[in-house]
Amino acid sequence: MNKHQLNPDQQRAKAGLKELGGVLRAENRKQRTELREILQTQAENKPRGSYLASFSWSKVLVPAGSLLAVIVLMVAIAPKSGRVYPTSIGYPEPNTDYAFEETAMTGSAMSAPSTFKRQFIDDLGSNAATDGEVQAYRDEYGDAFEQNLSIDVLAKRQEQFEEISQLFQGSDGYIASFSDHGGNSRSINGHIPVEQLDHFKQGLVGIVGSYKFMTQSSYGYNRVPDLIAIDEKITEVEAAIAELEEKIANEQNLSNREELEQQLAQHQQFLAEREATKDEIEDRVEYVDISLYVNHIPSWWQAGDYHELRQSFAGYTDPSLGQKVLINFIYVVSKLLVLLSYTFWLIIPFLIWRWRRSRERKMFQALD
Amino acid sequence: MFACVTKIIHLEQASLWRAIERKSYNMKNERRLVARAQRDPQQFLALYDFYYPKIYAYTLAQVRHRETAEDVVQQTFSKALDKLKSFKWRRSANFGSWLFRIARNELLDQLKKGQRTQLVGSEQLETEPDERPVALEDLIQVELENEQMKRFQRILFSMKKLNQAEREVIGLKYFSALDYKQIAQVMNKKPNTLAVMLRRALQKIKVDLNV
Repeated sequence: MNKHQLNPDQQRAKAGLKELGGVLRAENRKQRTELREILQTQAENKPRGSYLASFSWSKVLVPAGSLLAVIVLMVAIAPKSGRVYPTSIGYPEPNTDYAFEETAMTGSAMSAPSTFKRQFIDDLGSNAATDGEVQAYRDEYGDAFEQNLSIDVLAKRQEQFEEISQLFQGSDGYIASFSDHGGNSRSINGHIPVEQLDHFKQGLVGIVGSYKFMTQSSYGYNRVPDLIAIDEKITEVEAAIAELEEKIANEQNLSNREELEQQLAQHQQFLAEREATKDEIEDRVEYVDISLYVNHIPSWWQAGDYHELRQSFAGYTDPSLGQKVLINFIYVVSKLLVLLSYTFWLIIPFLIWRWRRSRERKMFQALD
Repeated sequence: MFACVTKIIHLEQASLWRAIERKSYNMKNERRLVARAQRDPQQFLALYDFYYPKIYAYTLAQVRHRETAEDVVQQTFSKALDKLKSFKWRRSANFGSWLFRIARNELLDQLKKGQRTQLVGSEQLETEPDERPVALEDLIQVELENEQMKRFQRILFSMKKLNQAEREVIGLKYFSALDYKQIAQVMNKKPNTLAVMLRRALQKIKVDLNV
Protein backbone atom coordinates (compact mmCIF):
# COMPACT_ATOMS: atom_id res chain seq x y z
CA MET A 1 0.00 0.00 0.00
CA ASN A 2 1.27 3.47 -0.87
CA LYS A 3 2.24 5.20 2.35
CA HIS A 4 0.65 8.43 1.11
CA GLN A 5 -2.78 6.88 0.69
CA LEU A 6 -5.57 7.95 3.06
CA ASN A 7 -7.39 5.56 5.32
CA PRO A 8 -11.17 5.11 4.87
CA ASP A 9 -12.06 7.71 7.54
CA GLN A 10 -9.85 10.27 5.90
CA GLN A 11 -11.27 9.41 2.49
CA ARG A 12 -14.78 9.99 3.79
CA ALA A 13 -13.79 13.26 5.42
CA LYS A 14 -12.14 14.43 2.23
CA ALA A 15 -15.18 13.59 0.14
CA GLY A 16 -17.45 15.40 2.60
CA LEU A 17 -15.28 18.48 2.68
CA LYS A 18 -15.10 18.62 -1.10
CA GLU A 19 -18.83 18.39 -1.33
CA LEU A 20 -19.30 21.11 1.26
CA GLY A 21 -16.72 23.26 -0.49
CA GLY A 22 -18.60 22.97 -3.77
CA VAL A 23 -21.80 24.07 -2.07
CA LEU A 24 -20.15 27.01 -0.33
CA ARG A 25 -18.53 28.21 -3.57
CA ALA A 26 -21.91 28.24 -5.27
CA GLU A 27 -23.39 30.38 -2.53
CA ASN A 28 -24.49 33.96 -2.46
CA ARG A 29 -25.12 34.87 -6.04
CA LYS A 30 -26.88 37.99 -4.87
CA GLN A 31 -23.88 39.51 -3.19
CA ARG A 32 -21.71 38.37 -6.05
CA THR A 33 -23.74 40.38 -8.53
CA GLU A 34 -24.06 43.43 -6.28
CA LEU A 35 -20.37 43.52 -5.50
CA ARG A 36 -19.58 43.18 -9.18
CA GLU A 37 -21.52 46.31 -9.95
CA ILE A 38 -19.77 48.18 -7.16
CA LEU A 39 -16.37 47.10 -8.45
CA GLN A 40 -17.31 47.97 -12.00
CA THR A 41 -18.11 51.50 -10.92
CA GLN A 42 -14.87 51.69 -9.02
CA ALA A 43 -12.94 50.40 -12.02
CA GLU A 44 -14.55 52.89 -14.39
CA ASN A 45 -13.36 55.73 -12.23
CA LYS A 46 -9.79 54.54 -12.31
CA PRO A 47 -7.44 55.77 -15.04
CA ARG A 48 -6.38 53.40 -17.80
CA GLY A 49 -2.74 52.78 -18.48
CA SER A 50 -0.81 52.20 -21.66
CA TYR A 51 -1.25 49.01 -23.68
CA LEU A 52 2.41 48.71 -24.27
CA ALA A 53 3.75 45.73 -22.39
CA SER A 54 6.63 46.31 -20.05
CA PHE A 55 9.84 44.82 -21.24
CA SER A 56 10.66 41.46 -19.74
CA TRP A 57 14.36 40.80 -19.56
CA SER A 58 13.82 37.11 -18.93
CA LYS A 59 12.40 36.70 -22.45
CA VAL A 60 15.77 37.77 -23.84
CA LEU A 61 18.18 36.40 -21.28
CA VAL A 62 16.78 32.88 -21.02
CA PRO A 63 16.97 32.05 -24.77
CA ALA A 64 20.35 33.78 -25.06
CA GLY A 65 21.69 31.89 -22.06
CA SER A 66 20.40 28.58 -23.40
CA LEU A 67 21.99 29.22 -26.78
CA LEU A 68 25.29 30.10 -25.17
CA ALA A 69 25.19 26.93 -23.09
CA VAL A 70 24.58 24.85 -26.22
CA ILE A 71 27.48 26.53 -28.06
CA VAL A 72 29.83 25.96 -25.14
CA LEU A 73 28.77 22.32 -25.05
CA MET A 74 29.38 21.90 -28.78
CA VAL A 75 32.85 23.41 -28.58
CA ALA A 76 33.75 21.32 -25.56
CA ILE A 77 32.91 17.99 -27.15
CA ALA A 78 34.05 18.74 -30.71
CA PRO A 79 36.78 16.31 -31.76
CA LYS A 80 40.09 17.97 -32.52
CA SER A 81 41.72 17.45 -35.88
CA GLY A 82 44.71 15.21 -35.97
CA ARG A 83 48.18 16.06 -37.03
CA VAL A 84 49.26 15.52 -40.59
CA TYR A 85 51.94 12.95 -41.09
CA PRO A 86 54.23 12.46 -44.05
CA THR A 87 53.28 10.13 -46.86
CA SER A 88 54.62 6.63 -47.51
CA ILE A 89 52.41 5.39 -44.73
CA GLY A 90 52.76 1.73 -43.95
CA TYR A 91 54.89 0.77 -46.92
CA PRO A 92 57.59 -1.59 -45.77
CA GLU A 93 59.86 -0.73 -48.66
CA PRO A 94 61.16 2.71 -49.42
CA ASN A 95 59.50 4.01 -52.52
CA THR A 96 62.64 5.30 -54.08
CA ASP A 97 63.26 2.87 -56.87
CA TYR A 98 61.37 4.98 -59.31
CA ALA A 99 63.31 8.06 -58.31
CA PHE A 100 66.58 6.19 -58.59
CA GLU A 101 65.80 4.88 -62.03
CA GLU A 102 64.78 8.30 -63.20
CA THR A 103 67.88 9.96 -61.92
CA ALA A 104 69.99 7.14 -63.28
CA MET A 105 68.57 7.75 -66.72
CA THR A 106 69.02 11.49 -66.55
CA GLY A 107 72.22 11.29 -64.64
CA SER A 108 71.21 14.00 -62.23
CA ALA A 109 70.92 13.61 -58.49
CA MET A 110 67.41 13.15 -57.04
CA SER A 111 67.91 15.91 -54.60
CA ALA A 112 70.32 18.73 -54.18
CA PRO A 113 73.81 17.36 -53.77
CA SER A 114 75.41 17.83 -50.44
CA THR A 115 78.39 20.14 -50.27
CA PHE A 116 80.90 17.54 -49.17
CA LYS A 117 80.76 15.58 -52.41
CA ARG A 118 80.47 18.40 -54.85
CA GLN A 119 83.41 20.34 -53.59
CA PHE A 120 85.74 17.67 -54.81
CA ILE A 121 84.19 17.35 -58.20
CA ASP A 122 85.03 20.81 -59.32
CA ASP A 123 85.60 20.20 -62.95
CA LEU A 124 82.46 18.28 -63.61
CA GLY A 125 80.55 20.83 -65.65
CA SER A 126 77.18 19.38 -64.87
CA ASN A 127 75.80 16.56 -62.81
CA ALA A 128 74.80 14.68 -65.86
CA ALA A 129 76.31 11.36 -66.78
CA THR A 130 75.46 9.54 -69.95
CA ASP A 131 73.42 6.38 -69.93
CA GLY A 132 76.40 4.42 -71.08
CA GLU A 133 78.57 5.77 -68.30
CA VAL A 134 75.94 5.01 -65.68
CA GLN A 135 75.46 1.49 -67.00
CA ALA A 136 79.19 0.92 -67.10
CA TYR A 137 79.51 2.06 -63.54
CA ARG A 138 76.63 -0.10 -62.44
CA ASP A 139 78.21 -3.08 -64.03
CA GLU A 140 81.35 -2.35 -62.10
CA TYR A 141 80.09 -0.99 -58.80
CA GLY A 142 76.48 -2.02 -58.54
CA ASP A 143 73.69 0.46 -57.54
CA ALA A 144 75.34 3.33 -55.71
CA PHE A 145 72.45 4.83 -53.83
CA GLU A 146 72.81 6.77 -50.58
CA GLN A 147 69.62 6.09 -48.72
CA ASN A 148 68.25 8.10 -45.83
CA LEU A 149 65.26 6.82 -44.00
CA SER A 150 63.07 8.75 -41.60
CA ILE A 151 60.78 6.55 -39.54
CA ASP A 152 58.14 7.58 -37.02
CA VAL A 153 57.04 4.88 -34.65
CA LEU A 154 54.28 4.68 -32.06
CA ALA A 155 55.20 2.65 -29.00
CA LYS A 156 52.67 1.80 -26.33
CA ARG A 157 55.06 0.50 -23.71
CA GLN A 158 58.21 2.05 -22.30
CA GLU A 159 60.12 -1.24 -22.79
CA GLN A 160 59.63 -0.87 -26.53
CA PHE A 161 61.85 2.21 -26.46
CA GLU A 162 64.82 0.13 -25.31
CA GLU A 163 64.05 -2.71 -27.67
CA ILE A 164 64.01 -0.33 -30.61
CA SER A 165 67.34 1.18 -29.57
CA GLN A 166 68.87 -2.28 -29.40
CA LEU A 167 67.60 -3.11 -32.86
CA PHE A 168 70.43 -1.13 -34.44
CA GLN A 169 73.05 -3.35 -32.88
CA GLY A 170 70.99 -6.37 -33.74
CA SER A 171 71.15 -5.31 -37.39
CA ASP A 172 74.93 -4.90 -37.40
CA GLY A 173 74.53 -1.17 -37.26
CA TYR A 174 75.28 1.53 -34.73
CA ILE A 175 73.68 4.56 -33.16
CA ALA A 176 75.26 7.90 -34.06
CA SER A 177 73.20 10.13 -31.79
CA PHE A 178 70.39 9.76 -29.32
CA SER A 179 68.12 12.10 -27.41
CA ASP A 180 65.37 11.41 -24.96
CA HIS A 181 62.53 13.96 -24.85
CA GLY A 182 61.22 13.48 -21.37
CA GLY A 183 60.35 9.82 -21.57
CA ASN A 184 57.45 10.20 -24.00
CA SER A 185 59.52 10.33 -27.15
CA ARG A 186 62.99 9.49 -28.30
CA SER A 187 65.05 10.45 -31.32
CA ILE A 188 67.68 8.00 -32.60
CA ASN A 189 70.00 8.58 -35.51
CA GLY A 190 71.84 5.49 -36.60
CA HIS A 191 73.29 3.57 -39.52
CA ILE A 192 72.75 0.01 -40.62
CA PRO A 193 74.09 -1.91 -43.60
CA VAL A 194 71.86 -1.84 -46.65
CA GLU A 195 71.50 -5.58 -46.64
CA GLN A 196 70.19 -5.46 -43.05
CA LEU A 197 67.44 -2.96 -43.87
CA ASP A 198 64.74 -5.57 -44.31
CA HIS A 199 65.76 -7.28 -41.11
CA PHE A 200 65.67 -3.95 -39.30
CA LYS A 201 62.20 -3.12 -40.53
CA GLN A 202 60.86 -6.56 -39.71
CA GLY A 203 62.29 -6.18 -36.24
CA LEU A 204 60.62 -2.81 -35.87
CA VAL A 205 57.26 -4.16 -36.94
CA GLY A 206 57.68 -7.03 -34.53
CA ILE A 207 58.27 -4.62 -31.66
CA VAL A 208 55.39 -2.21 -32.30
CA GLY A 209 53.00 -4.87 -33.41
CA SER A 210 51.83 -3.68 -36.79
CA TYR A 211 52.79 -1.66 -39.83
CA LYS A 212 50.06 0.79 -38.97
CA PHE A 213 52.10 2.03 -36.02
CA MET A 214 54.97 3.15 -38.24
CA THR A 215 55.35 5.63 -40.97
CA GLN A 216 58.40 6.30 -43.03
CA SER A 217 59.64 8.65 -45.60
CA SER A 218 62.76 8.00 -47.49
CA TYR A 219 64.97 10.00 -49.71
CA GLY A 220 68.32 9.45 -51.13
CA TYR A 221 71.06 10.54 -53.38
CA ASN A 222 72.12 8.86 -56.49
CA ARG A 223 75.86 8.57 -56.12
CA VAL A 224 76.62 6.99 -59.44
CA PRO A 225 77.42 10.26 -61.21
CA ASP A 226 79.44 11.34 -58.20
CA LEU A 227 81.47 8.18 -58.20
CA ILE A 228 81.96 8.33 -61.94
CA ALA A 229 83.20 11.88 -61.68
CA ILE A 230 85.49 11.08 -58.80
CA ASP A 231 86.89 8.03 -60.59
CA GLU A 232 87.60 10.11 -63.62
CA LYS A 233 89.31 12.72 -61.55
CA ILE A 234 91.30 10.09 -59.69
CA THR A 235 92.44 8.63 -62.97
CA GLU A 236 93.44 12.07 -64.18
CA VAL A 237 95.32 12.87 -61.03
CA GLU A 238 97.08 9.51 -61.02
CA ALA A 239 98.20 10.12 -64.58
CA ALA A 240 99.43 13.58 -63.60
CA ILE A 241 101.30 12.10 -60.62
CA ALA A 242 102.97 9.48 -62.81
CA GLU A 243 104.04 12.21 -65.24
CA LEU A 244 105.42 14.37 -62.46
CA GLU A 245 107.36 11.46 -60.95
CA GLU A 246 108.99 10.84 -64.30
CA LYS A 247 109.87 14.49 -64.69
CA ILE A 248 111.37 14.57 -61.20
CA ALA A 249 113.45 11.53 -61.94
CA ASN A 250 114.80 13.18 -65.07
CA GLU A 251 115.27 16.69 -63.67
CA GLN A 252 118.83 17.76 -62.88
CA ASN A 253 118.20 21.30 -61.85
CA LEU A 254 117.65 21.42 -58.09
CA SER A 255 115.26 24.34 -58.02
CA ASN A 256 113.16 22.91 -60.82
CA ARG A 257 113.19 19.62 -59.03
CA GLU A 258 112.00 21.21 -55.84
CA GLU A 259 109.20 22.90 -57.70
CA LEU A 260 108.16 19.65 -59.34
CA GLU A 261 108.23 17.88 -56.00
CA GLN A 262 105.93 20.54 -54.57
CA GLN A 263 103.51 19.99 -57.42
CA LEU A 264 103.73 16.25 -56.87
CA ALA A 265 102.90 16.68 -53.20
CA GLN A 266 99.89 18.78 -54.08
CA HIS A 267 98.67 16.21 -56.55
CA GLN A 268 99.18 13.41 -54.05
CA GLN A 269 97.22 15.33 -51.45
CA PHE A 270 94.52 15.99 -53.98
CA LEU A 271 94.42 12.28 -54.82
CA ALA A 272 94.23 11.28 -51.17
CA GLU A 273 91.31 13.61 -50.60
CA ARG A 274 89.47 12.28 -53.62
CA GLU A 275 89.99 8.73 -52.52
CA ALA A 276 88.79 9.62 -49.05
CA THR A 277 85.68 11.16 -50.57
CA LYS A 278 85.10 8.07 -52.67
CA ASP A 279 85.48 5.88 -49.59
CA GLU A 280 83.05 8.06 -47.73
CA ILE A 281 80.53 7.90 -50.52
CA GLU A 282 80.92 4.15 -50.77
CA ASP A 283 80.46 3.91 -47.01
CA ARG A 284 77.36 5.99 -47.25
CA VAL A 285 76.07 3.84 -50.02
CA GLU A 286 76.71 0.71 -48.05
CA TYR A 287 74.95 2.05 -44.97
CA VAL A 288 71.45 3.41 -44.62
CA ASP A 289 71.06 6.51 -42.46
CA ILE A 290 68.07 6.07 -40.25
CA SER A 291 66.41 8.85 -38.28
CA LEU A 292 64.04 7.14 -35.94
CA TYR A 293 61.51 9.06 -33.89
CA VAL A 294 59.77 6.93 -31.29
CA ASN A 295 56.65 8.43 -29.82
CA HIS A 296 54.89 7.01 -26.84
CA ILE A 297 51.19 6.53 -27.35
CA PRO A 298 48.82 5.69 -24.51
CA SER A 299 46.38 2.83 -24.55
CA TRP A 300 42.86 3.70 -25.64
CA TRP A 301 41.58 4.11 -22.10
CA GLN A 302 44.41 6.50 -21.29
CA ALA A 303 44.11 8.64 -24.43
CA GLY A 304 43.87 12.33 -23.67
CA ASP A 305 42.25 13.58 -26.85
CA TYR A 306 40.61 12.43 -30.03
CA HIS A 307 43.89 12.24 -31.94
CA GLU A 308 45.55 9.96 -29.37
CA LEU A 309 42.46 7.77 -29.26
CA ARG A 310 42.49 7.48 -33.03
CA GLN A 311 46.17 6.61 -33.06
CA SER A 312 45.81 3.97 -30.37
CA PHE A 313 43.41 2.09 -32.65
CA ALA A 314 44.62 2.88 -36.14
CA GLY A 315 48.15 4.16 -35.70
CA TYR A 316 49.13 6.23 -38.71
CA THR A 317 46.61 4.66 -41.04
CA ASP A 318 43.05 5.79 -41.70
CA PRO A 319 40.70 3.87 -39.40
CA SER A 320 38.19 1.49 -40.92
CA LEU A 321 34.47 2.21 -40.66
CA GLY A 322 34.09 -0.04 -37.64
CA GLN A 323 37.06 1.57 -35.97
CA LYS A 324 35.67 5.03 -36.68
CA VAL A 325 32.38 4.12 -35.07
CA LEU A 326 34.15 2.69 -32.04
CA ILE A 327 36.52 5.66 -31.74
CA ASN A 328 33.70 8.19 -31.94
CA PHE A 329 31.58 6.23 -29.49
CA ILE A 330 34.40 6.09 -26.94
CA TYR A 331 35.19 9.75 -27.49
CA VAL A 332 31.61 10.94 -27.02
CA VAL A 333 31.12 8.78 -23.92
CA SER A 334 34.36 10.07 -22.41
CA LYS A 335 33.32 13.66 -23.09
CA LEU A 336 29.93 13.03 -21.52
CA LEU A 337 31.64 11.60 -18.47
CA VAL A 338 33.88 14.66 -18.29
CA LEU A 339 30.83 16.90 -18.63
CA LEU A 340 29.10 14.90 -15.94
CA SER A 341 32.04 15.37 -13.62
CA TYR A 342 32.00 19.14 -14.25
CA THR A 343 28.28 19.39 -13.69
CA PHE A 344 28.22 16.94 -10.85
CA TRP A 345 27.67 19.69 -8.35
CA LEU A 346 24.63 20.74 -10.34
CA ILE A 347 23.22 17.28 -10.91
CA ILE A 348 23.04 16.21 -7.29
CA PRO A 349 20.99 19.21 -6.15
CA PHE A 350 18.89 18.85 -9.28
CA LEU A 351 18.19 15.19 -8.49
CA ILE A 352 17.37 16.07 -4.89
CA TRP A 353 15.03 18.76 -6.09
CA ARG A 354 13.33 16.36 -8.51
CA TRP A 355 12.93 13.75 -5.80
CA ARG A 356 11.37 16.28 -3.43
CA ARG A 357 8.96 17.50 -6.06
CA SER A 358 7.97 13.98 -6.93
CA ARG A 359 7.43 13.17 -3.28
CA GLU A 360 5.31 16.29 -2.78
CA ARG A 361 3.24 15.45 -5.83
CA LYS A 362 2.59 11.96 -4.54
CA MET A 363 1.68 13.31 -1.11
CA PHE A 364 -0.86 15.72 -2.49
CA GLN A 365 -2.23 13.32 -5.07
CA ALA A 366 -3.82 11.36 -2.26
CA LEU A 367 -5.10 14.53 -0.65
CA ASP A 368 -6.60 16.03 -3.83
CA MET B 1 -5.84 49.84 -37.42
CA PHE B 2 -6.88 50.87 -33.94
CA ALA B 3 -10.29 49.33 -34.53
CA CYS B 4 -8.61 46.05 -35.52
CA VAL B 5 -6.44 46.08 -32.44
CA THR B 6 -9.45 46.83 -30.24
CA LYS B 7 -11.38 44.02 -31.88
CA ILE B 8 -8.51 41.62 -31.27
CA ILE B 9 -8.39 42.67 -27.62
CA HIS B 10 -12.15 42.13 -27.23
CA LEU B 11 -11.91 38.73 -28.88
CA GLU B 12 -9.13 37.78 -26.53
CA GLN B 13 -11.22 38.88 -23.57
CA ALA B 14 -14.08 36.77 -24.84
CA SER B 15 -11.80 33.75 -25.17
CA LEU B 16 -10.58 34.37 -21.64
CA TRP B 17 -14.15 34.50 -20.41
CA ARG B 18 -14.88 31.20 -22.12
CA ALA B 19 -11.73 29.71 -20.62
CA ILE B 20 -12.87 30.75 -17.17
CA GLU B 21 -16.28 29.25 -17.72
CA ARG B 22 -14.84 26.04 -19.05
CA LYS B 23 -12.61 25.90 -15.97
CA SER B 24 -9.53 25.84 -18.16
CA TYR B 25 -8.31 28.93 -16.35
CA ASN B 26 -4.65 28.45 -15.68
CA MET B 27 -1.64 30.37 -14.57
CA LYS B 28 -0.72 31.49 -18.04
CA ASN B 29 -4.18 32.95 -18.69
CA GLU B 30 -4.25 34.50 -15.26
CA ARG B 31 -0.91 36.18 -15.68
CA ARG B 32 -1.98 37.77 -18.93
CA LEU B 33 -5.26 38.79 -17.42
CA VAL B 34 -3.58 40.39 -14.44
CA ALA B 35 -1.24 42.30 -16.75
CA ARG B 36 -4.24 43.57 -18.70
CA ALA B 37 -6.13 44.44 -15.55
CA GLN B 38 -3.21 46.49 -14.37
CA ARG B 39 -3.48 48.55 -17.50
CA ASP B 40 -7.26 48.50 -17.75
CA PRO B 41 -9.05 48.13 -14.37
CA GLN B 42 -12.20 46.95 -16.13
CA GLN B 43 -10.42 43.66 -16.84
CA PHE B 44 -10.26 43.04 -13.11
CA LEU B 45 -13.84 41.81 -13.17
CA ALA B 46 -12.77 38.61 -14.94
CA LEU B 47 -10.43 37.89 -12.03
CA TYR B 48 -13.22 38.79 -9.64
CA ASP B 49 -15.57 36.29 -11.28
CA PHE B 50 -12.99 33.54 -10.88
CA TYR B 51 -11.94 34.25 -7.34
CA TYR B 52 -15.19 35.41 -5.70
CA PRO B 53 -16.51 31.86 -4.96
CA LYS B 54 -13.17 30.81 -3.56
CA ILE B 55 -12.70 33.86 -1.35
CA TYR B 56 -16.31 33.72 -0.16
CA ALA B 57 -16.19 29.99 0.67
CA TYR B 58 -12.92 30.42 2.55
CA THR B 59 -14.14 33.43 4.49
CA LEU B 60 -17.53 31.91 5.28
CA ALA B 61 -15.93 28.75 6.63
CA GLN B 62 -13.65 30.84 8.83
CA VAL B 63 -16.15 33.29 10.26
CA ARG B 64 -19.38 31.28 9.96
CA HIS B 65 -21.37 34.47 9.72
CA ARG B 66 -22.84 35.50 6.40
CA GLU B 67 -22.78 39.26 6.83
CA THR B 68 -19.27 39.31 8.20
CA ALA B 69 -18.10 37.11 5.39
CA GLU B 70 -19.71 39.46 2.85
CA ASP B 71 -17.98 42.43 4.46
CA VAL B 72 -14.62 40.71 4.38
CA VAL B 73 -15.06 39.69 0.75
CA GLN B 74 -16.07 43.19 -0.29
CA GLN B 75 -13.11 44.72 1.53
CA THR B 76 -10.78 42.15 -0.02
CA PHE B 77 -11.75 42.86 -3.58
CA SER B 78 -11.87 46.60 -3.11
CA LYS B 79 -8.38 46.62 -1.70
CA ALA B 80 -7.17 44.30 -4.42
CA LEU B 81 -8.53 46.65 -7.07
CA ASP B 82 -6.87 49.63 -5.40
CA LYS B 83 -3.51 47.91 -5.05
CA LEU B 84 -3.54 46.06 -8.34
CA LYS B 85 -1.18 48.42 -10.09
CA SER B 86 1.52 47.85 -7.49
CA PHE B 87 1.21 44.05 -7.66
CA LYS B 88 4.23 42.20 -9.14
CA TRP B 89 3.86 38.67 -10.32
CA ARG B 90 6.50 36.38 -8.87
CA ARG B 91 6.88 32.62 -8.78
CA SER B 92 6.64 32.73 -5.01
CA ALA B 93 3.68 35.13 -5.03
CA ASN B 94 1.13 34.84 -7.80
CA PHE B 95 -2.15 36.73 -7.96
CA GLY B 96 -4.26 34.10 -6.18
CA SER B 97 -2.01 33.87 -3.16
CA TRP B 98 -1.78 37.65 -3.03
CA LEU B 99 -5.55 37.96 -3.02
CA PHE B 100 -5.95 35.34 -0.32
CA ARG B 101 -3.38 37.08 1.81
CA ILE B 102 -5.44 40.23 1.56
CA ALA B 103 -8.52 38.20 2.61
CA ARG B 104 -6.61 36.72 5.51
CA ASN B 105 -5.48 40.12 6.69
CA GLU B 106 -9.05 41.40 6.46
CA LEU B 107 -10.21 38.48 8.58
CA LEU B 108 -7.65 39.31 11.21
CA ASP B 109 -8.71 42.95 11.13
CA GLN B 110 -12.29 41.89 11.70
CA LEU B 111 -11.19 39.87 14.71
CA LYS B 112 -9.33 42.81 16.16
CA LYS B 113 -12.31 45.06 15.66
CA GLY B 114 -14.34 42.58 17.68
CA GLN B 115 -17.03 42.10 15.07
CA ARG B 116 -19.61 39.36 15.44
CA THR B 117 -17.06 36.79 14.44
CA GLN B 118 -15.60 33.89 16.33
CA LEU B 119 -13.21 31.45 14.82
CA VAL B 120 -13.97 27.95 15.84
CA GLY B 121 -12.03 27.02 18.88
CA SER B 122 -14.70 27.17 21.45
CA GLU B 123 -16.39 24.08 22.82
CA GLN B 124 -19.69 24.72 21.08
CA LEU B 125 -20.68 26.06 17.76
CA GLU B 126 -20.09 29.76 17.87
CA THR B 127 -22.90 31.98 18.88
CA GLU B 128 -23.43 35.64 18.52
CA PRO B 129 -23.11 37.77 21.64
CA ASP B 130 -26.88 37.72 21.97
CA GLU B 131 -26.73 33.94 22.19
CA ARG B 132 -28.57 33.38 18.89
CA PRO B 133 -27.36 30.04 17.59
CA VAL B 134 -25.88 29.87 14.07
CA ALA B 135 -27.62 27.35 11.96
CA LEU B 136 -26.35 25.82 8.78
CA GLU B 137 -29.40 27.21 7.03
CA ASP B 138 -28.14 30.70 7.75
CA LEU B 139 -24.89 29.98 5.99
CA ILE B 140 -26.16 27.93 3.09
CA GLN B 141 -29.22 29.15 1.27
CA VAL B 142 -29.27 26.43 -1.35
CA GLU B 143 -31.82 23.67 -0.91
CA LEU B 144 -30.13 20.57 0.40
CA GLU B 145 -31.29 17.07 1.16
CA ASN B 146 -31.74 16.13 4.75
CA GLU B 147 -28.88 13.64 4.73
CA GLN B 148 -26.62 16.14 3.07
CA MET B 149 -27.54 18.78 5.61
CA LYS B 150 -26.76 16.45 8.50
CA ARG B 151 -23.44 15.51 6.93
CA PHE B 152 -22.41 19.10 6.54
CA GLN B 153 -23.52 19.90 10.06
CA ARG B 154 -21.40 17.06 11.32
CA ILE B 155 -18.38 18.29 9.38
CA LEU B 156 -18.70 21.82 10.68
CA PHE B 157 -19.09 20.49 14.21
CA SER B 158 -15.95 18.35 13.83
CA MET B 159 -13.99 21.29 12.55
CA LYS B 160 -13.97 22.90 15.97
CA LYS B 161 -11.56 20.20 17.09
CA LEU B 162 -9.06 21.62 14.65
CA ASN B 163 -6.60 24.34 15.52
CA GLN B 164 -6.51 27.60 13.63
CA ALA B 165 -3.90 26.52 11.09
CA GLU B 166 -5.64 23.22 10.35
CA ARG B 167 -8.96 24.96 9.78
CA GLU B 168 -7.29 27.41 7.49
CA VAL B 169 -5.58 24.76 5.41
CA ILE B 170 -8.82 22.76 5.17
CA GLY B 171 -10.60 25.90 4.05
CA LEU B 172 -8.02 26.75 1.42
CA LYS B 173 -7.72 23.20 0.13
CA TYR B 174 -11.29 21.93 0.03
CA PHE B 175 -13.49 25.04 0.20
CA SER B 176 -11.43 27.35 -2.00
CA ALA B 177 -9.99 24.49 -4.08
CA LEU B 178 -6.47 25.95 -4.22
CA ASP B 179 -3.50 23.79 -5.13
CA TYR B 180 -0.86 23.05 -2.54
CA LYS B 181 1.65 25.52 -4.00
CA GLN B 182 -0.77 28.40 -3.64
CA ILE B 183 -1.71 27.29 -0.13
CA ALA B 184 2.00 27.19 0.76
CA GLN B 185 2.37 30.75 -0.50
CA VAL B 186 -0.71 31.99 1.34
CA MET B 187 0.17 30.38 4.64
CA ASN B 188 3.92 30.71 4.21
CA LYS B 189 4.50 27.06 5.06
CA LYS B 190 6.34 24.23 3.33
CA PRO B 191 4.29 21.77 1.30
CA ASN B 192 5.40 18.88 3.53
CA THR B 193 4.05 20.67 6.57
CA LEU B 194 0.77 21.34 4.82
CA ALA B 195 0.41 17.69 3.87
CA VAL B 196 0.90 16.62 7.48
CA MET B 197 -1.59 19.21 8.69
CA LEU B 198 -4.17 18.11 6.13
CA ARG B 199 -3.85 14.44 7.00
CA ARG B 200 -4.16 15.19 10.68
CA ALA B 201 -7.17 17.42 10.08
CA LEU B 202 -8.88 14.80 7.92
CA GLN B 203 -8.38 12.25 10.63
CA LYS B 204 -10.14 14.48 13.15
CA ILE B 205 -13.10 15.32 10.97
CA LYS B 206 -16.00 12.90 11.27
CA VAL B 207 -18.59 12.68 8.58
CA ASP B 208 -20.83 9.88 9.71
CA LEU B 209 -22.98 10.32 12.75
CA ASN B 210 -22.30 6.79 13.88
CA VAL B 211 -18.54 7.22 14.01
